[in-house]
Amino acid sequence: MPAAIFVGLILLVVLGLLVAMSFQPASGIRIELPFVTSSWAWVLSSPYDALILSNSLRLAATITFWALLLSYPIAWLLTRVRPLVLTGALFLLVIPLLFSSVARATGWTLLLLPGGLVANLLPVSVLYTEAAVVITIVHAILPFAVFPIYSAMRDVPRNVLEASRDLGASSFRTFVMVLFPLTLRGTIAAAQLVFTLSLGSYAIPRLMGGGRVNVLTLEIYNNLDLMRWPISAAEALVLVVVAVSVVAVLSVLGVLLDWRRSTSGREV
Amino acid sequence: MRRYLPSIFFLLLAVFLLAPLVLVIVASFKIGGNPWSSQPYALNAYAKALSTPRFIKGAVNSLTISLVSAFIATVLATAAAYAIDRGSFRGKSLLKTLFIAPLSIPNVVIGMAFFIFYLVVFRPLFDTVVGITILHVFLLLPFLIAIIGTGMAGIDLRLEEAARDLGDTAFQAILRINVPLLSPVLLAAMGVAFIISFDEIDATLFLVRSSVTTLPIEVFKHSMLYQDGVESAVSVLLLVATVTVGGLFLGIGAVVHRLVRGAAPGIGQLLQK
Repeated sequence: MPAAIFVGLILLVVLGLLVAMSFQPASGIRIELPFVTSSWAWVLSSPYDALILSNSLRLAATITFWALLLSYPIAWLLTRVRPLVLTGALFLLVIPLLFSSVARATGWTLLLLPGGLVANLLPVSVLYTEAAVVITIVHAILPFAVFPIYSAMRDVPRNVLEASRDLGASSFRTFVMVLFPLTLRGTIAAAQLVFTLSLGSYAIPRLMGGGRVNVLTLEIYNNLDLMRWPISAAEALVLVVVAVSVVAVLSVLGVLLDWRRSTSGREV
Repeated sequence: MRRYLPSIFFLLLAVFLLAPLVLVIVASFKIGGNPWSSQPYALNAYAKALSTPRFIKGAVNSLTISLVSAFIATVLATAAAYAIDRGSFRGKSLLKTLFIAPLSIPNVVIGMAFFIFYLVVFRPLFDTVVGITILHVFLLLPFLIAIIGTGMAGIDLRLEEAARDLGDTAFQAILRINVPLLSPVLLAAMGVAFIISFDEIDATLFLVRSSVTTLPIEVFKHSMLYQDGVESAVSVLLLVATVTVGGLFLGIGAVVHRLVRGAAPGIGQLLQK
């Protein structure tokens, strides 16, 4: 137990050092007094950093959108299949995770290669574009989106949905008015997980972007190579703050929507 | 038609999930590494992968790092999960949050933080197997605390109390009751930990310079420069290693689970007497 606390403390110290390094002048390689804000000023006023941060956010949002869109029908079908099919489908979803990110990137590159199967079907080449990064990440991130939505959906009593249909609601209306609100918690948990994982991804954007997709994680590493450690440190902290803020906003949104639903339910 | 929609959907999903993976395996057996070419099938890429020293060195390092970090992280996570689960002290929920929180910090950031930590405080750890192992322990801890914590919540606290009432010390009770009951969870946790650590690139890349390397990082570097099939061959070898070692832990865990589940009611009855 004391060992466990010790380990927790080391992590705080390590992250503390990262904060301290971000308050050094841009070329600093030691942590010394006085602390200055010039590296932060550089990062926060750099138009290029603003651009790559917006790239990162757009990429993570796009991945989250597609992952949720695919996960909903998957989770829905999983609640209505036989146990054996369920086990098989769940195993199928995690198979990509057994392959390293390099293997997954290689596989998608081969599929999207000129002369390859998918490239022949598409009017434009998506190899080395943001779309390629999105496809490759969605492919492996799917279980993280499906599992929370599936477990939320499993807890929705079947007769609630039947009641909605019996009262004359269409399938679509039942989905919007009943199933979606009841599985909102799971959907938000899935969105939080997928968003943070994609925002922090490094290897896939690097391999699938072919140098044309610039995101914050790549820039953190580039600045480290250019011996601008305090700049990297500040960018890394921006990434954490953005990730934590998005997670917090989604949590608050979930609580608010839940609260609205429970109060409006009482009126009925 | 409507009846078959789910089947068609699952089929398309399976194609989407498996096509790129199958293609990597096919490519690894093709000369030149392009599965669409008319080149013959051969084992050239494997021969090249196994005769490249940096892949061999990387494989040895990766195995060492992943096995050691998975073991250490499991031991530490068990202690932490035990304290969180069984303890009743102030700040318990704070402690839990503190341990699980790093999950929402991207690996790139943790790698960057350790880079600074080593270069500013512990220079000798930078670019070493030990330094990377320590990093991996930290990356694995939140996952393992979550997994083991869930497993621990399912164990009947009364068994441990009974053992202590019958004269065991706290340590003996943990060793004789909790460890056997928990061992399937611990083995599964170690298997998951190995799989995560063995494929880690994002954070490890920050701690690797010239003297040390890992297998995923060598494949990563290789595939940025070449598309010659060797990256596919190493990927397949990585997969085989991941599935074998990870699966071994999970498999042993499942067997132990059966044995313990058979024995557990016996232990319970014995203690009730």
